[in-house]
Parts: sequence; structure tokens; C-alpha cells
Amino acid sequence: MDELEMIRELFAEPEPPRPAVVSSARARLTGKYAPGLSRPRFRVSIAAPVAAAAVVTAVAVVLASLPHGPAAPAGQAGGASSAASDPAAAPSSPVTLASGRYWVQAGVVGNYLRVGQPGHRYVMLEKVAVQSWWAQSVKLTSPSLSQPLSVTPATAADQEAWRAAGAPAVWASVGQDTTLANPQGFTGGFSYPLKAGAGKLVAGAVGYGIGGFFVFGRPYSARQLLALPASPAALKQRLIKQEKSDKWDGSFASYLSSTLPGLMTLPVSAAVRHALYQVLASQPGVRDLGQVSDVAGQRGTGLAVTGHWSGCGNEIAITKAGSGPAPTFASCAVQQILIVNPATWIPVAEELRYTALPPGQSWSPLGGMFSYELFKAGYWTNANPPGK
Amino acid sequence: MTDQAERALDDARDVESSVHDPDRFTAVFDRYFAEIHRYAARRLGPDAADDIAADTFATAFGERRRFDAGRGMVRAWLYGIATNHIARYRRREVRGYRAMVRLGPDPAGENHADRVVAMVAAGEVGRQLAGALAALSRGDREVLLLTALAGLSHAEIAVALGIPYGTVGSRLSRVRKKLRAELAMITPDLEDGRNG
Repeated sequence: MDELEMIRELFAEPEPPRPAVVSSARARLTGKYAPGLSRPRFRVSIAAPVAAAAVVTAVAVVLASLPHGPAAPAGQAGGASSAASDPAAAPSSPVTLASGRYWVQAGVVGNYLRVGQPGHRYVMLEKVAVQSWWAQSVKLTSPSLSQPLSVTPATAADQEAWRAAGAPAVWASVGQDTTLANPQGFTGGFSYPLKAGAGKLVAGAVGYGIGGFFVFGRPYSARQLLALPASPAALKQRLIKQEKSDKWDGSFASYLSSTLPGLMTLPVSAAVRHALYQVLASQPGVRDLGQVSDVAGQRGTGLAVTGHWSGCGNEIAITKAGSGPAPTFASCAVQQILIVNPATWIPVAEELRYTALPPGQSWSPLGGMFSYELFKAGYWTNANPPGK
Repeated sequence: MTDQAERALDDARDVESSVHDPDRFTAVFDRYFAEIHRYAARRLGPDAADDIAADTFATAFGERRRFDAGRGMVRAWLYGIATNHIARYRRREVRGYRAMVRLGPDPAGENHADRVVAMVAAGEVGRQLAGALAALSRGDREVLLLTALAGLSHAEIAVALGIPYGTVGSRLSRVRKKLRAELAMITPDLEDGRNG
């Protein structure tokens, strides 16, 4: 018996999948809601319009032109674009019971991508506008949309390096998708071409006619969301239960840091958002940053959680033997920062920074930042999603 | 054309067609779901396998537009996606191997560890092998297990992991040599290659 046979013997033959598992997984492909099978990404899908398909991140179906959702109704502006820079001007309770067919939450994701030839690497910042539409009727789909906005050198030094490389406008492949980065570079096994300039609006995933919101592992109506308890203890219990279900492989604090931005951008009450913030703030290892500015200069109140990872980032390594995806760093410490508007507790931004790298290695952009998302306040609308 | 080649062509056509006719993807699902589930279950147990297999096909479905039909390696593509999903469970997997080494019930009571402990009753060889697996780098372990458990060819593994073809051979050769050396102390036949 050789060592390969020994391994086969070590991992005995399992039972085939249960019919319910097969049919549920199949239903995810055929557009039917499959309860209990949503999975976490780095941005955990505890509350996402297409929780079961949150892994779908990039180009899928080309839709229409511009990503302009309807303007936020008066009194609901907040989050990243405006109110967060002046918390006092933000509404104290921007959410009311469903007043439209869709809840829309938009934002901008920025990812710093290391590209170029070995020995001549430089970093480009890719900005992508993202939108999530939550249909309130099971008869409507809930698309997640994205549109590339720009790709520019991250720093002056990167600009010089980019020019020295001939100022390319296309990079054959990068290993980072258009969502908030995963420290370990998870991309579903894919790289894709990166192009400078704005791109088309595309639908990366389409919901399954859930109706309402998918939260804590089950559908919630808008009314049920508003009725969530505003008690930190009660919410913490639900989050602990969901963490177990999500099989999160990290600290509870990092789980919260990854889940709460999604939950806090839904139409929950300001009291619930505040309670969720308190749950995170009370965790061991969570640092209260006080008043901070995000990457766009917006002010807010911040909390930070640091975790240690192996195999960080993802880029295309080119060797004599060929090329393929490889970690940018063998290990890293990553700080996740959540910044909220203290008047509304609506998330303003989420930022990910390298705070420690292997000896002799460095990452230049903005104090170690490699990914961020700027949130806009959500709003209700009766308009159709773009492309419909 | 061999059955295998014909199937690979069918796979590629189904994925390509599914971009405009999503229902076509269900043929790929029906062909490979059980196989991907089996691979994940052998590595991580049935509970995790349920999620990993479902996630793998949800990812593949969403990414089908990016699949390069010209390469015609849907099976390898699916294993690559599954490997990425399995990576999320890496700590749990390594804990499972360590539980095997201890040959005692896993303190966390994880089904997988318990199951494997029971299954390995293998004694010293199993313990040694589990310890060696726990100590491997992620890259080496993926190549080894895709070979041993999934039966993928070098070319398929290169596609699945996105690494050069030559790297697959060199990694596999290195890791097998390492395993032989580890196991040689208790199964001397392995060292001189009589069984390898």
C-alpha cells in the first residue's frame, strides 16, 4: 500500500448527500429560496438581499447604464455621502415601516490591487459602486448590482511606477473581486481582467423571491425587522446562535465586525443599530477609536478589531514555470474598522488595514489599508431596479 | 473520442449555454454534485460537505460567464471552487487531523473529528499520517488530497488550483517524499519504494 492509498483509507467513504440537501442546493440554482443554506463570506451574509448567492461577486448579467438609484428621500440622507460628515445634521430616526416595493442600499467599494511585473509591482485603487435591492414581494427579484467607477494609482509612488511601466490601462488578471476584500484573497477561484475607466452596471447576483429581508438565517418582513429587540443582550444571543450556524472560523468580535455593517444598513430602528454597536463594543479585543475620519474624510465613531491570518491577499505570481494566483503575504494582522454616524448609528464606512506583515515586507497605501466600503443610507422606493 | 473527452465537451457546452439558458446548468449540477460532496465529506465530514457542495455550485453558477469553455475542464473548475470554500474550514480540518493524532475524542465534539477518530482506528500509521497532513502547507495538502481523494490528473489540478502544470508534479513529488519519510519509521517498506 502506498501513501496515496493510505490517505484514501484514512478518509473513509462517506454517505452520499441526503436528498433534501441535493434538492435544496439545486433550488439555489433554479431560483427558489433554499432556507438554511446561506453561507458567510468575509462580509458575512447574515443580512443580504441574496444571502444564498452572496458568493457571486462580479460580472454576471449586463444590465442597464448608470447606477443612479433614486435620490434618498429628504430626511433620509446619511451614511457615507453627506450626513456622516456632519452627524448633527443627520436625522435621528431615518427609518419607518416599508414605504416602497424595494429597500435599496448603495455604497462604494475600494480595493487596492497590487499589479505589474515581479520586481516592478505597484498598487492601483479600484473603485466600484454597489447597490443591493431588497424586494418586499416574493414575486420580485432582489438584485445586487455593481459598476466599476475608476482604477487609479494608489499613491504618487505608484503613479510613477505605473508610468514607468508604460501606463497600462488593462491588467490581464487580478485576484480580487469587487466586494470588500477577504484578507485571504478569496475570489471563488477566479481572477479577472482589470480595466481602467468606468464600466457598465452589472448584476452580480439575483435574489430568490424571498420577500423582505434575510436575517439571522430566516426571512424577516420589514415589520419584523422594526420589531427586533433593542436590547444588546437579546441581540447578542441571536448573533451567537447565528455565528454557530455560520461556522465562523474566527473570534466572535471578528464575526460581529463582519456581520453588523450589513445588518445595520437595513431598515432596523436606530435603537437596534445602537444596541448592535454596543454588542460589538463590549467584546474583548475591540478597541474604541472614538471620533475618526474614514478614507473619504467623513467623520464618525469607530470600533476596531484585529485578527491574524495566514496567506493574505491575492495576486498573480509570474515565474519561469508560468503564472498563477498566490498570496501577497504569507501572513498578516488585519484590523477591521467600523465607523458609524453617532447620531443615527448608520454605518459610514468599513475599512481593512494590514497592521503587521512578515519581516521585510510592506504595503504602502494609506497606513496599510487594502480595502474599504463607504455606505450610503438606505431608502425605500417604488422604482424598478436598473435593467428591469 | 473517449467517454471522458465527450463528457468534458458536454460539460463545457452546458456551462457555455447556461449563460443564456440558466436551466442548462442543472445538467452540470446533476453530473457533479455528488462527487464534489463526496470529496468535501471525506475531508470535513457530512455537515460541512452539505454547505461546501451547495456553495460550490452557487459560486459556479454565478461565475459561469467567466468559465473558459475552450479549456473544457468543468470538473477541475468545480474542484477549484470547492477548494476555495474548503479553505474556510482549514482550522477545523487541521484540528481534525490533530484529533486523529491524539486518538481520543475531540474536545470540541466535532462530528468530523469523532468520525475520523473512529475510522482511523488505524493505529500508529493513521496517527502518523494525520500528523503529517496537519503539518503540510496548504498548497501541498491541496495537491495531495486532490490527487488521492478526488483522483484529479496533474492537468486538472493545475486548472483547479490555478498553478502551473509543472508545479503540480513538483509539489506532489515533494509531499509524497515527505510522507514516505515520515511513515518510514513505522512502515519501512515505504522508504525503499517497494510499496510506493
